[in-house]
Amino acid sequence: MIQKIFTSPVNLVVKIGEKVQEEVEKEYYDIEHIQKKLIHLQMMYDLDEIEEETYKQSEKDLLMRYELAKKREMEQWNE
Amino acid sequence: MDKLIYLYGIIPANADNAIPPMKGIDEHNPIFTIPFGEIEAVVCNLDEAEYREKELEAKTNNMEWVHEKAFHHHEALMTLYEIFTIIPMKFCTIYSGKDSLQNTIVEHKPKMIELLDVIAGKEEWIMKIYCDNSKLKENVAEDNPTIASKREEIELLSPGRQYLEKRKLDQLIEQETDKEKDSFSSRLHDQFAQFSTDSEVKKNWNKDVTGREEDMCWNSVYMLEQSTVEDFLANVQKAQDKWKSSGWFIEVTGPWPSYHFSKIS
Repeated sequence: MIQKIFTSPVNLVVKIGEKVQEEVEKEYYDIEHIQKKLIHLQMMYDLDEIEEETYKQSEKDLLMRYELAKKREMEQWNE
Repeated sequence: MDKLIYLYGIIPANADNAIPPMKGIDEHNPIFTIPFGEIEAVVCNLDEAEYREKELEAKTNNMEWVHEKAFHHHEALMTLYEIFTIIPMKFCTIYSGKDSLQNTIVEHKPKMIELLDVIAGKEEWIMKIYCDNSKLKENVAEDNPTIASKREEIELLSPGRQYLEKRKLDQLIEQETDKEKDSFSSRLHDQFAQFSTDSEVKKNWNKDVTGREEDMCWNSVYMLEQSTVEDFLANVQKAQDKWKSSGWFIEVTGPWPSYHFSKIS
């Protein structure tokens, strides 16, 4: 019991750390999230809020992430 | 020290709904509202040392920062738009303090109240038309009456003249293809604009930006009553189904907050 009390905060930290990592990964590989970012990016360019160079670079990064996410999704299906 | 104020947008004063808890653009200070009678400003405080003009200029020169923060700005506006009628502000609208914000709001308040009334219950949608240039060129070469009559003229010429005139004909096909892009897109725009209370034609993006094989030939934005959105989208879908095989691609995105139709001069 005592041991549990002492270990629980450490476990909690680990769990939160894992959770944060999960969230980061989920967002990074989430296809819907990436699509949303791509659409928002278009709006930012339409509103002249970002320059052509920023648009192109950001789109390139997002499309790369999209491909990775798709690949990951396929791998999960095949498992 | 007076903190800087980042303004996201203006919403009607509304006692029923509170804004959802959200972190501001600095990822630290919360987003909150400041009441100004019938309207409220949705804002977050910013540390002056980090966001004063010189520092902000350095940040906005950083491509990654701009993308990340502009995305935050639009995400926050979308969240607010789901709950409130909102006049969205441009990315990086920052005031030197509450007094400065207040002066601006007081000056434009009647216009803001009027605008909130105009955009209530409406959605903004963007339409982009792309076309497969080579397919369209083929169609123009086959079906365009100007090209057909030119071809008939060439048939009657001597072989030497025919060679020269055929080269000119290629140029004519290019010109007619460009005309067709514009007239086709313009017709569709007129058709879709009938559903809107307001519309605006925007500049096309070049291929270098779109990264697509197809040319962008139209880029426009529509303000729609929520009750007409379904019909608008059904018509866009119908047009897409009809023209896809001829090399036309129509893309719509929305609903957006009123980015294009709530400008306060």
